[in-house]
Amino acid sequence: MKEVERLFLVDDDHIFLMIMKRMIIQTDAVESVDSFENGSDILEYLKANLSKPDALPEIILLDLNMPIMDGWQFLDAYREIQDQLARNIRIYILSSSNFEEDIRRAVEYPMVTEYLVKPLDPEKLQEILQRG
Amino acid sequence: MQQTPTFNLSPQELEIIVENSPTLIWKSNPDKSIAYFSNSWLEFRGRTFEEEMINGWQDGVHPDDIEACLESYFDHFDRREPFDIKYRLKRHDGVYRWILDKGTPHYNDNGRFIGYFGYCFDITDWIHTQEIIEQKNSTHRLMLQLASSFINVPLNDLDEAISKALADFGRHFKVDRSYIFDYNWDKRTCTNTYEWCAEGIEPQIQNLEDVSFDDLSGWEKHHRVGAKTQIIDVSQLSPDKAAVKALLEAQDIKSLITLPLMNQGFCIGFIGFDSVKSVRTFTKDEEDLLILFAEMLVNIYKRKKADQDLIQQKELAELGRKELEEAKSVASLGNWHLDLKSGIVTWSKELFKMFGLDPVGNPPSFPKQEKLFSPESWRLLKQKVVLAQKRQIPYEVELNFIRADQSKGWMWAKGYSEVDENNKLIGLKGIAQDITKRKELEIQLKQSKARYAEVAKRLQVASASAGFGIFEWDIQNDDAIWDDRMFSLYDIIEHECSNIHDAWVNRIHPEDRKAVQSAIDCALENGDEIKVSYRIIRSDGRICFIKSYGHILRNLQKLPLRMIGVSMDVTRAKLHQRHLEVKNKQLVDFSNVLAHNLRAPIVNIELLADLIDQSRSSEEAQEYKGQLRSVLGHLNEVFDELMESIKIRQDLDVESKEMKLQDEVEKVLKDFKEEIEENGVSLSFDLDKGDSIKYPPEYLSSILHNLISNALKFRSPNRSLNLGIKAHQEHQDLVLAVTDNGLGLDMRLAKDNLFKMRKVFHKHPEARGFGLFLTKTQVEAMDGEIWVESEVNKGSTFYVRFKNAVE
Repeated sequence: MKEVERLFLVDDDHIFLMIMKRMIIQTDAVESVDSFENGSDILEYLKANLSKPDALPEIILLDLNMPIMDGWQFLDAYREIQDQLARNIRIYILSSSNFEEDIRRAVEYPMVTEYLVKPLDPEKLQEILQRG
Repeated sequence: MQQTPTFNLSPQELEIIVENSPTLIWKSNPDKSIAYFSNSWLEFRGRTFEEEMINGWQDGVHPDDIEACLESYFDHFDRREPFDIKYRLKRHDGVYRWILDKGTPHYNDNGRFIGYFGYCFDITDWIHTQEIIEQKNSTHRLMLQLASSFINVPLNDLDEAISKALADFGRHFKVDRSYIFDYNWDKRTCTNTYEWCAEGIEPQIQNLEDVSFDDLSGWEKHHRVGAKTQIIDVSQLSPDKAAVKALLEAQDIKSLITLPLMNQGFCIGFIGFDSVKSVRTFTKDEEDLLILFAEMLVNIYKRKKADQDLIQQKELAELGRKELEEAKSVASLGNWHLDLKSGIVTWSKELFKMFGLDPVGNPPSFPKQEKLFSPESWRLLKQKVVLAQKRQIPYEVELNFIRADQSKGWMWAKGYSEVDENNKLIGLKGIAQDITKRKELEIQLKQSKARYAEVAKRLQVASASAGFGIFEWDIQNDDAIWDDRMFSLYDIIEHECSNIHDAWVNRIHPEDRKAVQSAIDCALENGDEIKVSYRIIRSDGRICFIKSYGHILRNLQKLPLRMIGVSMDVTRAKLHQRHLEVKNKQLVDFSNVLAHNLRAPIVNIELLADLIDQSRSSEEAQEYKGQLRSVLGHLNEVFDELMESIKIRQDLDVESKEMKLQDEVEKVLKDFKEEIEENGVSLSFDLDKGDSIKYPPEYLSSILHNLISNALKFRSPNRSLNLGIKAHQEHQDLVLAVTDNGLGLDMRLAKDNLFKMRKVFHKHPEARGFGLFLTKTQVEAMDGEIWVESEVNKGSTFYVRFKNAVE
């Protein structure tokens, strides 16, 4: 059994997704990694699997700047469904923005565990995965 | 009870009677257990004989009554005495009914005790009636007692009587707290003036002084129109009543009712009753009583108030009398006389008083009166007296006199010559009056007038240099005086308006009129200054921002007489400020773009470079290099777009040209000719051919290009595209509308992001998120606006306001 069963990446940048997946697989601490291209896609997924703990991730790494539904809008929508989720999910913001305004705004969401600025170094990733 | 052989009935006949009687009948064994229950008992209980026999019946007795019931039963049983026991017994439907159980010992023919016979009656209704009667009696007693005590109580004991009444009422209604509040409608507060608490209940009166209406959640509105308020369960209050809920819960209140104290249609306060221990409702009868109580309280209040008023009136009358006396002595006229032959002067006592001299002595001779006046007044008086003597000219002068204590005053004096029957001058006589007070007021007034004249003059000088208009408004006569600048400022032609004030009000932007009026009302009410900003609409429709300052002049009674002040046009400053705000917002947006859009590809390059370093085969490295190239391409694209947008922002002096909108639209459509034909797009126009637009040609072309290209790009795959292009004029602005029936946007998601850089809302491969960003920049660079109305799968309309683009 690995440290983390499921981890979701939410980002519209395909190259970054590819690199992140690679990094995560290298840690050998995650059973399965899935990715979503925007907030709306993952929201639909969560809504469809509210009561299935096995289908839900333990960790979500969330980008902010995305088409259709951005990270902020996802957090707002997540707040509405959070109580119905069968699993406790840790959400990390993983954004290229090191803008103080964004960081301050993100930590005001109680469900956001931490704000991480891209690129994420492997030790930090390790630490997050061990935390569970 | 003895046996009843006297009736000579057969046992069968007796059994029929017993079994059909509505009375519940039982018979006991000598050992107190029950041996028999009649059918009526078993039917009442809804149980079988087996269930009820021996001690089974005891299950049906109310838990609160069982102990007393059994104790009484055993006690009487042991002493073989008949008994009446009242207890509650559970009926077949589960309802407890009050039962009167009459038991009598029973003996056989040999005189041996064989047990008890019992007869039970359902007395529930009777008990209820008794309770109601008792309650009513108690109520009547209470009301009578209150009424008589209120009528007879002396004024000084009223407080005590009211407190006692609250206590009596509280106890009677079994509530935990009863109280009275007085309203202060001016201050919008109420204050707890009387309170009674049941034993063990915390008093609250000290916490409830000047409670703001804001904490009452609108009770005062109910009370004001004579309506009660009632909260049956405080814990069930809706969230919008949070303030009052918090206030009540702080006092542990579970239920409460309040009733207004109405005096001739005016609400002076309210009484209330709290229940702290449990939730409490009130019956209609109880409420009627409370209303009656409230009315009695109001009568008491009225009496108290009337008594207080009477005392006050007496005091006022006393004060009035004193004032009148004083006024008389101040205003009283004095007489004087000068006998020219003897030189003797006579004064009436008022004159002595005026000069502060002893009325018992003689007045000084005329020449000696010099020291009684200021040198100037003395000269004047001498001159007038000489003229009166020589030419018999009567005079009337105001003189500055000096009292015995060296204080100075003003006197009005009139003198005329006195002749004998031969028309020969024999003396002078006249009257004099102390006018010091009046004179002082006049001087004050003169000084303040001079001061205002000075202010007005200075204003005029200032206005000439600062370019603002001066106004003076005679408030009492509603008459205004404006200088020329005011008329040009408000675009009003002087000889065309009959009332300047009305003309001015008409110029004010309708949305601002109310605010201006209330600022004026407020200043007239209690201020001496007014500062107000508002918009006006000039006759050509142009909106200007105006700032007005006014100073209010009041008379001694504080009545506002006139307002003088200035108005100035602050439109330029206002626009400048708005321009700065827009610029600042753009700057923040721009930093955002840098943080998100420019940093993202750089991060990727960094990561890819690491991967290339770590790659174990040249194929792997080659793959990453390919990706590196695509990231670099993307970076280039973002960079170019950024440069383009910066260019627009710097292009402040871009030149506008006059063009025909129709021509420009047609030019842009040519670029899309193929796409339009291929997809069978139907176009509709509503552009006035005469409409010309003054705008930078590159911008207009770019804006049109982007909006039309978006409509084509985001068309619905399910229907052919209808593209509508309309324009109309609004004042000096031209408003363009581009409508499509395409994919549309979810406005809840798009919100403020729609016009931001690199924000896309479609999964369309060509959605880049730059076109609208650029368009918005081009529109706002020329002070215009862009906005959108859209619905998913119905289509969108983009509007652009070209500011001042119509000549």
